[in-house]
Amino acid sequence: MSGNITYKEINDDVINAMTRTGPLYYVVLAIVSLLTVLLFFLPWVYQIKTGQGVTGLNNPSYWGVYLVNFVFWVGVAHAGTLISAMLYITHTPWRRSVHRSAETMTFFALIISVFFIMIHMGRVWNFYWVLPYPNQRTIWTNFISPLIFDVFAIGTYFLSSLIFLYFGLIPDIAAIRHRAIGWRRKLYEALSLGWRGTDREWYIRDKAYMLFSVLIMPLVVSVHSVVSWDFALGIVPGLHKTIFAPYFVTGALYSGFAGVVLLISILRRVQNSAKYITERHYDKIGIMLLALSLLWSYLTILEIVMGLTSHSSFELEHLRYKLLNPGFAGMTAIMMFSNTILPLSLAIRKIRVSITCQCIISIFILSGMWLERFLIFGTALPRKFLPYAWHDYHPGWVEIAITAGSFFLFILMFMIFMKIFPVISITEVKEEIGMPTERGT
Amino acid sequence: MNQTVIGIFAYADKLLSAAKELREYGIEEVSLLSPVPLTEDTGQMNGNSRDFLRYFTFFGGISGVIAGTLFAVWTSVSYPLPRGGRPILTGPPTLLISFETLILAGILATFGGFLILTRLPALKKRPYHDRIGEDKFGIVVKVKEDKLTHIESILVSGGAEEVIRIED
Repeated sequence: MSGNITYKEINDDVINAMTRTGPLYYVVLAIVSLLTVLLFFLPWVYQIKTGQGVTGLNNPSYWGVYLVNFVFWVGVAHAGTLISAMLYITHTPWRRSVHRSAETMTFFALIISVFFIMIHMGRVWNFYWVLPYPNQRTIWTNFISPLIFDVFAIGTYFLSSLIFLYFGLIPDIAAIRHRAIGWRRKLYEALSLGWRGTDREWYIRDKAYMLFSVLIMPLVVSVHSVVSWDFALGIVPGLHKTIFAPYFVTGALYSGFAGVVLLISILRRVQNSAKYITERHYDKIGIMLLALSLLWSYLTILEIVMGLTSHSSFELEHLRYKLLNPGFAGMTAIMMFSNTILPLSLAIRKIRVSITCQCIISIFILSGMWLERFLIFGTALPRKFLPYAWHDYHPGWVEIAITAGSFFLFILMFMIFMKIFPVISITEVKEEIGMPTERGT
Repeated sequence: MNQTVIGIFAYADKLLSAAKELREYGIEEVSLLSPVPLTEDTGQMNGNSRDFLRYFTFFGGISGVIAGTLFAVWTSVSYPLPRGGRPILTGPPTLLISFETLILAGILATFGGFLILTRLPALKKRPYHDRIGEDKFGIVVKVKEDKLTHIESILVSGGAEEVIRIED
């Protein structure tokens, strides 16, 4: 936190950021909305009307870009909970200014990941078939299928993240409700539940926060492990690996932290919150990114070594296809540069505290992590066992459009959220500067 | 007749010393209002030391495990899906489902416990001052009318910037 900030100033800054909206915001909002409709919803409607044939999905590659996006967005969702829960338990002070943005990112990224499951499903109107429910055919969902693990894991994570986000928002909404008018006031009064900030309320809230954190931490690990088992529990060469769970969890946290860097940088610029999001935050997140980069690189090399030492001709063919096929070799090189070589520069403090440098590195990391997921699915299924079944996978224009559109959908949701709810935690920022006493804070 | 009084303070240390003074005077029901979490001692000082919330979490989690396990076992056994001689009921998937339901039920129960213990959502309007959400602190005291003047004087001498009376 920079300078001497008063409690009232924090309220004013947050309220101003939410309510003072210039014409530029509306222009950007209109463009982003238009792009979301054009690139995300219209192609999806076209796919629903025409059928899955508009995608590049065909025998044997039935898992394509949609599942790459699903894994990517679930991964991005992970850092929010990590920042909120793990860093809360360890009493890490720098989380306070950034945790709300990260939690919001978690929630919206999860919404998009669920969208991708539905898009991948094809007949989206039958989505409820994945849920366990009594039906007239007396068929229940198969609990041995990892896809059902996913329904439970993602469903639990979605609800938990929503509760966690809302729970943290209660005192903040209460702090601004009296300054709101019209629909905002009604909304804030309803959502703040009559919170007054009594010693009893704070005491129980702190206890609940700790219990939520303790419960959510293993959930984070389980969710991406379960996502990895969607693929690893099958016997497809290139996917059937025991290392997948830690590999996916590390990758998820890695891409999530890169997402947080981008998000807080945009907030810092758009909401003039430079005094709340300082060099110190970038420095700490930079160190986290560097550590995760090293861990991810180690696991990536290990994954290749596991394939090489598998003594399986199918596995070796998959590796040959992934590493030596010109197209995929290029992608692997870009991935290694983005996720292993470039982030090494974060060892230098000057680069860590430079917002421009961190944003550039984060864009590379996010691109690299998307490529990593594409390389996992895009190379395993086309080389599934015997050569008669081999067939290359090329995503169709609908898949590419929806992928691009998902980023605009995320930006759109965040842009709307930041004008309705505080994206910087008023309470926690106040906590960080300390309580005012007669002798000063 | 009881009357509720709110003392508004600018400083946390003044608030705490005034609350202490009120308790020493014999007022049991002193509620502190603050824009930030007060220290743990303050929470316990006001009779909140019995931390019931963890029981909500514990029993919620236990119910989640039992419900998840029973659900996976019951559906597998009652609606068997033969898969080439493999066992109908298997351990790891059941464990996984019950783990997820443990977390979900634990979190829902914790949130429910939080609402019950804090008596939220508040259906009736309760003593509050809008500045509490911003930068002020407050003490809410419920007293009999005969003690009212004395309580107000304690609050003012303790550093209250403003004392507001609220009819019950």
